[in-house]
Amino acid sequence: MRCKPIPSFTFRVAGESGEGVISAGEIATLAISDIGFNVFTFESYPAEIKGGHCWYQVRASNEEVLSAGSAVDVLCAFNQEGIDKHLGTVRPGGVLIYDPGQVKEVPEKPDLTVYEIDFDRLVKEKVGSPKSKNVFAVACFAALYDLPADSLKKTVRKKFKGKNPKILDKNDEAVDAAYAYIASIPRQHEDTLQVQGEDDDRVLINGNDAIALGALVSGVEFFAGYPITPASSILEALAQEMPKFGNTIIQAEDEIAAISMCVGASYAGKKAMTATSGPGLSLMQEMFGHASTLELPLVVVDAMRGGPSTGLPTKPEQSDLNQMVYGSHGEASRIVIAPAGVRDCFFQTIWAFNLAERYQVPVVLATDHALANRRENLVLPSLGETPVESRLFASEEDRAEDYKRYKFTDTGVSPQAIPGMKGGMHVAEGLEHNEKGDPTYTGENHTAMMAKRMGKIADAWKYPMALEAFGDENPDVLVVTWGSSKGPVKEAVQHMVSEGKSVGYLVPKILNPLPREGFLDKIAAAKEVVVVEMNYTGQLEGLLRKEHARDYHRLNKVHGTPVSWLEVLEKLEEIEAGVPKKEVHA
Amino acid sequence: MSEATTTPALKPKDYKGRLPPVWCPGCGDFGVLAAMQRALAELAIAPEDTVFISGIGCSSRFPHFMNAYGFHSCHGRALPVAVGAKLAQPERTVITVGGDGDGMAIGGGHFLHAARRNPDITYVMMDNEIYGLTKGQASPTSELGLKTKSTPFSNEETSSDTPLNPLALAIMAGATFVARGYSGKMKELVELTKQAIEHEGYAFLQVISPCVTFHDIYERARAQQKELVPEHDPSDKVAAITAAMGEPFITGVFYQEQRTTLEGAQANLVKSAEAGLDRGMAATAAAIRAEAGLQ
Ligand SMILES: Cc1ncc(C[n+]2csc(CCOP(=O)(O)OP(=O)(O)O)c2C)c(N)n1
Ligand code: SF4
Ligand SMILES: [Mg+2]
Repeated sequence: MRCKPIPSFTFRVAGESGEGVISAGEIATLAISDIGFNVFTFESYPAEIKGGHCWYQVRASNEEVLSAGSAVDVLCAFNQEGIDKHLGTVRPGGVLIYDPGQVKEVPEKPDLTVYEIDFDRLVKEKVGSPKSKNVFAVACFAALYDLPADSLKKTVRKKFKGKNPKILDKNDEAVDAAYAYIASIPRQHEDTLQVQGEDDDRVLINGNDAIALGALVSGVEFFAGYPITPASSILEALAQEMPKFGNTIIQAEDEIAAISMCVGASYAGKKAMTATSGPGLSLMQEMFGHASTLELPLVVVDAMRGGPSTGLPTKPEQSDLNQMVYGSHGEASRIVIAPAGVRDCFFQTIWAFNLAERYQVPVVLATDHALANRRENLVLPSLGETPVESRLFASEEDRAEDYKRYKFTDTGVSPQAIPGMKGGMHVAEGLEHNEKGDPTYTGENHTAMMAKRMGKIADAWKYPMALEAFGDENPDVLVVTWGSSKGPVKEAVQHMVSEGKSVGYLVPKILNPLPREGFLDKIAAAKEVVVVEMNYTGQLEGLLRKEHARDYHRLNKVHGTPVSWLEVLEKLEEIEAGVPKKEVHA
Repeated sequence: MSEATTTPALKPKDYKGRLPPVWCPGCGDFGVLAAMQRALAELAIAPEDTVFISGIGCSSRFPHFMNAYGFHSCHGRALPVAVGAKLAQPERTVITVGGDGDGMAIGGGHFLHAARRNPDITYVMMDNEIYGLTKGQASPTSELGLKTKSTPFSNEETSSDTPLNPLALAIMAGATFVARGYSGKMKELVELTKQAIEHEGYAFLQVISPCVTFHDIYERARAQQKELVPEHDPSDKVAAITAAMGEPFITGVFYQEQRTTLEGAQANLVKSAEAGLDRGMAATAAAIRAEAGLQ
């Protein structure tokens, strides 16, 4: 049979959680990454630990992979639910691999190639270790798509590094058994995956790892956190890595304590960070505003999940923007930054620290469940032009006489004295205070202090990575989106541009304060603007409307899954066709 | 960053803050402030090496009346702020101050967790059994049935709010130094304050500090206050809890033990972790930093 190489490819594995579905997906991802493809993963698992349906997919291409895509090339179903829930997403001409021992019925589907492989029985017979089912299943897929067996073995050994050597040998046996089995059955499909290149120095990491790595590169000195999905992996990664640098990490008794500890550490001069999700950010709001008033640098990660309340703990959403921008009582100045991809998570984390330090202000770093967990294989980042900044501490001269912690300066930023510094004694004061930090309730002082705290961040959007633009520079249709929704937007816009349409997009990485040049001015000038985001009320659109009143199209989705590029495409075609503006909840 | 110094003979007045106390004349907190200034002078801890961290309440205004570094935090949050500040700068003397409402109601969760972690900080709770700053509502240490502005119909039949026992709670939560003083007994209070600060580990000092304006308990305190019996053995945890659950105005050191501190444990952890710098994400981060010329 003729083999046909394919440029972009999606493999999905589905079954009962606890059965090795996720680890099978991870092995497949590594294997495809190790033969030189770019990868983009998506996983879905229930909020419960045992039981419930879960699935994992990897989309691969030799070009940049922008989103989870829309159709599956190969579905590997471990049980009936895996077929019932996912067969519909398999593209015409796609492949289904399933375990007949766990499946009663495969619905009719035209143009579908089916491989019935009795994983459980074969693993037991040929390998004698039921635990190797995930490796065996992936190896069947790999054999069907012509991945070199040796490369797969290397991948599997890498994945299980440090495990008992007996287990590693069993895995090798499982790979051999799977390849032998596949060789013994007739091939029914044409597609193949060609090796793109040898191992390069790429690392396969997810968004949360990239944030943790960015924090380490920024020189984070203090971290306090409280476990919550999908932010916990940042706490866990830093718990492993920060002590190696002599730094402190602590699991607090709740989010209020976590942020309070960070604020205490920042008061004592340390670069501090905490990470949480929406419910935790709600709890942190009082202390967040306090840090803002005390003009203390701090980075707070909000890995968003479906809300409100406990909501959808294991699903993505972008519905915390309002609380990031407006949360806490009074009007507390803050910066909000939202990376739009895994690599971006690394760099924007460094910028979050830089801006926190530079302006002595708390920064929220927004990510979401999809970005937190999705893996991409990155070439190891190099800082290049990106600096690592530190705050302005009070010099001996600043402290020589009459030191003022909240001194009015041209920049609005005042040199900070920390305990131990002679002449720098002051009270970090949450009551409105004068330049020295003494409680002061006059109207004039309050006006001046509000202007200081608000004014100092007005130009914060002027950093090199604050904005991403693509497509026509002055397009007829301008798409605006943020965070992880960038991927599907880019895919749709690329498609439109390739068809000669006047379309472009802008993705602000800083959401407070919003970039003025190159962003708000473009929004004012564009003929049609559509805002794409995973929330119900159009929160970014609300911010834009406040800055620039005009008509906006909206694409909003609250479905527990990312916006798909086809949904964006459909919306863009609608706008082109002149359909009147209305809210669309995809 | 540290400029630790040995300071020539300091006097209590060297610890006086720039701002005059805003407390009502006769407020018990004056006594606590005077005792603190004397204790620090006797211990000769340099003002710039000392940090006072408070929550919100009359008593939480304390940092402004000291010549030292200060942090006036949010209601109930002084302890976690102090834990962060201490971990950041283990060489500083960190003292948390505040009221009974601040520490036992809104900050009640932190009260237990600070104690069990054993950071080397001191926590002085000025207990007036009432909310002073908000003008006289019931507190978690108010006696059962106390009639206040927020509990106008309260008596022993219409209330079931048993007061919390800060001393017993602190001992059970793992505090390694637990004592009670009285703002009206200066000499003893200075001694207790000194011992609390000198204790290596988490020291909790409850001070009976009456509010003359909203709940004057001076008469009761004066009448009932006495010292722990000399035979009391502060290393005996059960005896300490029993004494703590006894009469309310007994003063002295109820409990003391030595245990690894939070900062000590962190330092040990760092020592054992540093070897792993060539592995994992830390190695990647170190490589990126080195390539960019960062230390
Ligand atoms: C979040 C929050 N809730 C309520 C208040 C109002 N408040 C200020 S002080 C206080 C109680 C103070 O009582 P206590 O801690 O015993 O201190 P005291 O004034 O008696 O010294 C309250 C309820 C506040 N500042 N913040
Ligand atoms: S109200 Fe009570 S606690 Fe507050 S200052 Fe006056 S006497 Fe002291
Ligand atoms: Mg009180």
